[in-house]
This record gives sequence, structure tokens and C-alpha cells, in this order.
Amino acid sequence: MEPTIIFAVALAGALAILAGIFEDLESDTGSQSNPNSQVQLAPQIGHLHRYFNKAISGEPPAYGFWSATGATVAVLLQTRFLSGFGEMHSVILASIFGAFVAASILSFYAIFAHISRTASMRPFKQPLQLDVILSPLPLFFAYGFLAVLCVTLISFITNMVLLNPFPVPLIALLFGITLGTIGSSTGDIHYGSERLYQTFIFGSGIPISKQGDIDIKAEYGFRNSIDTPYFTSRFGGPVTGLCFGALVFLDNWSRLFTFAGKWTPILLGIIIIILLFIINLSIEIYTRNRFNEFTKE
Amino acid sequence: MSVQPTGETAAHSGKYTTTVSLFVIAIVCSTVALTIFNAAPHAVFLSIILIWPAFASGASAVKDISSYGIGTGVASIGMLGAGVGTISAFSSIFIDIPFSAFIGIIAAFVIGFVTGLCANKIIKMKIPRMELKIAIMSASAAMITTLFVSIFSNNIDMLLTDVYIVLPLIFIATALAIIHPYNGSMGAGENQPRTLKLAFAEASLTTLLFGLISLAYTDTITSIEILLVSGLGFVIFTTIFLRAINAEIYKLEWSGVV
Repeated sequence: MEPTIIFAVALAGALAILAGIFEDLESDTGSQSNPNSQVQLAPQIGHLHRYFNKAISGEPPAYGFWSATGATVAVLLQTRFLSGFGEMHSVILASIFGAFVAASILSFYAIFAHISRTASMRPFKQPLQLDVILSPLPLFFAYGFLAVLCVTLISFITNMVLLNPFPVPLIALLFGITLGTIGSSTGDIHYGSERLYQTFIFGSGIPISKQGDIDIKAEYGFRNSIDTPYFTSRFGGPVTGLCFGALVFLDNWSRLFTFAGKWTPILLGIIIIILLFIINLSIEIYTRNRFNEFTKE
Repeated sequence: MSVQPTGETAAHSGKYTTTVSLFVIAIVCSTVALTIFNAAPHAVFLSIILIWPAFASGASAVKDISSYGIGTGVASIGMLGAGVGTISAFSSIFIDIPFSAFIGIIAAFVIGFVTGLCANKIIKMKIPRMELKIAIMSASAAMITTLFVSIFSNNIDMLLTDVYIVLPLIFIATALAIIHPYNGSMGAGENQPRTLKLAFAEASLTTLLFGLISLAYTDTITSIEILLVSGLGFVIFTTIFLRAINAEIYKLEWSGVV
């Protein structure tokens, strides 16, 4: 094993953890995906709110788009920068430009979604307040930029150092869809089912009768989309990062060994899946024993 | 900015255009666009203007399907339609006969129709006229893909990078531009004219992105034409869209207590 490849595997894993954290915080800054349904329903049951309603067609396609944009721009620029800056610097510089383009398009889509959805809330008297758009805008631009930058760099590492045969934009598209899926299923629950429903008992879930009955008042003033990452960065973001980081790291790590020829990564992958299944099952059994079955209210 | 008078009901400005008539407009416009580009590559700005109706026709098809209560399935149905369209259009590159681009668009329509038939008859989704709407969505995506693949691969001998690396971006950008107008406008006060205005704004944003990408593939004049016309279109359509928002919003204010 070459030291370069071990370093690349570790770096890809570390960047994936960062990408997961930033992705979850970016989506939470504007109530994308899972919490979006709750924010969307709130005015209909009389809760006028000051959340950013960032409806961009579900996180997986949206992150596929941002990542593919970032990676495509980066690849095209990298071939131009190659002679002037050398291999490593050209990749980093091109990725920064690519992430900037992706984050700009993200911002346009987010603003269009918020104003158009708020206009559709006219029968429920939801006003369009411009500070609700302008104050979270730099925040999710920055988070989106960092998430796309990390995904683009992972895609370059996967293609150039770990010698994945697919082109960088396709790897970025697949990583983006994976990242969006993980952020939507793992991280957003901390915001969508806990932060928005803090008046209800912790972990009680959201029955249909509570849908849209979200907290609109904060410790002082109204809840807004800037305070949300302050809450979700403690658990939701790191858990998303852990999940995506573990996925990228374990997948690359299983390719380092060659004891069973070409079948080694597949064998190791199956072993990892069985181990994870056993760990998850034992955690669930422990939780059920510790906190009992679900009880009636 | 003025504060609009309040109202209980949604303001339905403008009238409803059927998806089929939008699709007919899109077919005529994109056929002209492809013909113009093949005949005179330097008149590419006309092709870009003429491809925007295809985005609107796809977005209208998404709206028609999703109005039947799919809701969160907007993304799934859009990815299905756009996927069929873009893959058919990509595959038509490898057919070496005259008018292969048009064969790709027709194939997208047929495969989209069969996909809709499967969804309605086998999965039993029972959405009225879903077959036709998925076919329209796929054919619209195929038109957009065909035009941009033609633009990117026009000067194939002066390429520094392989053209196939932009295919993932063309697929996902087209899909988002088709599904997002309805997804971003969903709600009780949603209406078709505003959704289509958003579709045109996002269409020009998408062509602006493709124009940026084309700097690496085409000669500079073509790229600048695409960038200028898309940028101008983006400004114009966004202004029209913001006017519609201003007319339909319940109340517009800088800040305040809700």
C-alpha cells in the first residue's frame, strides 16, 4: 500500500464529514426537505411564521445539481489552470470557482422558491417579509459553498488518486444525491421533528393531528432561519457528517486490501453491512428495554 | 415597493394555457431552433430563445400531473420524465443517420408514453392522462438536451476536454428546471401563469449556466451570444415574475410581526 493512497482515503473521509455537516446546516437554514412540509402547512392552520421556505424539489436532486455544477465547472477550469498552477493547486482553485457558481445558482433557486411559495399562501394571510429572505441568504450561500467545495474535492480525490474510472462530474452527481439523501433522512429529523415541535414531549413523533402545529416563537421574538443552525449544529449536522463520512471512508477503506483479488471490497462491504446491522439491532433492543415500548397518551 | 390591498381569496391573474398547446409551441420552436443552429451556428442566440418554451411545456406537464395530489412526488415524477428524455437524446448521438436528433425526441415521447402507461396500468396510480403528460415531459427534456449536446459538440476537433463529462450536468439541470417551477410555487394560491413565469426565469438561468460551460467547448463568440441572451432573458423574466409576485402577495413589507 502506498502512503499516498492511505492519505487520500483519510482525506476523503474527513472531507465527507465536513460536507455532511455543512449540507445539513445549509438545508436547515432554509427549511428544505423534511421540515419544509411542516413550514408549508403552518400558515394553513393559523401559524404565520418567519421561517425561510426553501422548497427545492427534495434534497437529493437539489444536491445532485449543486455538486454536478460545481464539479463540471471545476473540471473544465482545472484543465486550463493545470499548466500555470500545477496539479494540486489547480484542483483546489478550480473547485473554489465551481463551488461559487453552484452556490450562486442555489441562492437564486432558494429565493424563487421562498417568494413564490409565500405568494401562494395569500389565502392564509402569510406576508412576504424581505428581511426573512435577506438575512439567511449569506448564511446558506456560505454553507452551500462549503458543502459543494467538499463534494467536488472528494470527487477529484476519488477520480485522480483512488483511480475511479468514472469522470469527476458523474462521481459528484452520485455523491451529491447520496449526500442529499443522508441529510434529508438523518440530519433533518433533528430540525423537522424536534426543533419545530419543541413544545411536545421529546421523541414523541409527529402524528397527523400535530402536522403544521410548529413553534413560531423563540426565546425572544420570532423563530427564524438563522437561529436554526445554532440548534442543529449540535446534533443534526454532526450526525449527517458522521453518516456520510463513514460511508465514504468505509467504502474507500475496503478498496485498500487485495487478499481476495477483485472480490475483496465486495467481501469487506458485506462484512461491514452485517456488523452495522448487528450494532443497530442491539442499540434498538437496548433502547426498547431501557425506555419501554411506545405508550398510549 | 407598494403594499398591496388585502384579499381573502387567491388572485388568479391571467388564463390557463393547456399543456398540449404549450407542447405544440415547444415542438415548433425547438425544431426551428435545431434547424437554425445546424444551418448557421453563429445565430445561436435565436436557438437559445426558441428553446425556452420547451422548459415551460415540461413545467406545465409536471404541474398537471402533480395537481392530482402527488405533492412530494413532484421530484420523483420529474426525474422520471427528464431521465427518459435525456437518455433518449444522448443515445441518439450514436445513431449515424440524418435527422437522428429528431429521432431521439420522438423516441423520448414514445418511451415516456410507455412509462406512463406502466405507471397507470401496472402500478395503478390512476392519474388522468398521465401517459401523455410524462411523454410531454420526456420530449421537452429531450429537446433541451439535444440542442445543448449539439452546441457543445459542434467544434469537436478543437476540444481540450471530452464532451461527455457535461452530460450529468445537462441531465440534472434540465430536470431541476422542469420540476422546480411547480415545486417552488405549490400552495393554495398557486396558478399557472405565475408558474410559467418562474419556468421561463429558471429556463434562462439554466441556459446561462450552460453558456458558462460552453466557454470550454465552443468558440468565444458563440459562448458570449449564449451568455448575453440568457442573461438578458433572466433579467426580463425575473422582472416579470417579481411583478406577478408583487400583484399576488398578501402583504409585502421589510420586516414585522406576523
